[in-house]
Amino acid sequence: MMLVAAAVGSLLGYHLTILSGRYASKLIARVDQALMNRAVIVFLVVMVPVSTGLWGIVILILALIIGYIPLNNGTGKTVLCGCLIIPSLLM
Amino acid sequence: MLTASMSSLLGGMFGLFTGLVPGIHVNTLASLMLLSYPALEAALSGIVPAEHVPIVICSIIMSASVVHSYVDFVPSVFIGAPDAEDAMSILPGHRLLLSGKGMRAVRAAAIGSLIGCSVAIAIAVPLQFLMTDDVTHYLDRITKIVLVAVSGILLLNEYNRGNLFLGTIAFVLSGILGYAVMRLPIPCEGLFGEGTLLMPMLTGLFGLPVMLESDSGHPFPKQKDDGKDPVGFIPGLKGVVMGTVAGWFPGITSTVGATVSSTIMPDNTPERFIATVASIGSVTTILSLVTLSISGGGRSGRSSSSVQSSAIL
Repeated sequence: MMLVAAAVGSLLGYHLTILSGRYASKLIARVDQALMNRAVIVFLVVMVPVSTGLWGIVILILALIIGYIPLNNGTGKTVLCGCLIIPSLLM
Repeated sequence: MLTASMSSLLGGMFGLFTGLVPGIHVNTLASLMLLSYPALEAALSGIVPAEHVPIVICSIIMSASVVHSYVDFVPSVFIGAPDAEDAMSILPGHRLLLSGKGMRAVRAAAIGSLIGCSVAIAIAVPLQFLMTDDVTHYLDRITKIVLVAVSGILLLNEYNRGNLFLGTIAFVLSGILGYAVMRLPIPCEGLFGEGTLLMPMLTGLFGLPVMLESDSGHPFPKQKDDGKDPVGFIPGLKGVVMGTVAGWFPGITSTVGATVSSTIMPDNTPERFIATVASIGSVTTILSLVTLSISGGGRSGRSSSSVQSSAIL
């Protein structure tokens, strides 16, 4: 039964992805890039304390500082996956 | 069969919602469904027989997880909001968007996921017979060796770029932050109950820097969609291989898996990288849920919910 659900989900997922991608493509062509960026940044920054409280903001600021290392120095962003690998190594 | 199919359609709608809205993980849906199991059982009692309720719940969770694994690339490409599994595809996805090829990124992700899902569905049950207790114990024992090897490959990439020092610093600092988020009892009580600190961590590491540095002041270029498959089936199959392996080891997300596979078998276009990441995400989603429904143990919230839901039956 789980495989049936996976198959149905897979077919749905494929078509929903293309449909929502097309919709987003049309929507984004009418949007100013700077405005869109600012709106998303504000949305995410507001969502953080709403969903995780003040400590979420602290984590966001620390993550942002670390996230800038690859951008400023040409390092690949993949190294930031250390955030998932190192905790697993230290389990 | 009909119950599972109808429930899957409903789950698909949930997956569409959790996949498109940044910050809402499908695990949250799975946990909510488990917490409200008695209420759901009462609500469904007039619609389906009581013994079918766990099937309904499992089907909804499986379908929602699969659909989520497809559509979460859309916000990742169009607004740069990351998920743990596809965080690294933001950069290639955003690059394609800025050159008017956002739909190529979306199509690449959809095809990668479709190949990943199709193969995962075909191999899910046979794989359970191969994964005997001896094999799983062996895999558990070599987990740390695999993680060290993967870390070595990531840092080797930095060495080849001449950025070993800063790459190592970024790797270690992000690791310390990840350790604090996952292992320390940091409060994360939001307005709607307890949230996950993974969201601010991933947003700060992968999403916000890209958005803050994006070119601004211009409209996005008109997006073209030629309706063609931009990647073929090879990246999807690479994703199947990496996804089958990555699913057994904690910490190896789709992105890490795709980076390792790109190091061994280079992806020469952003579309191919995105398709590989998408395929790995879908393969791990399906295999972890099927494995858990059979073995009763596992790693993710949605999987645990399915298992507990099955156990209630």
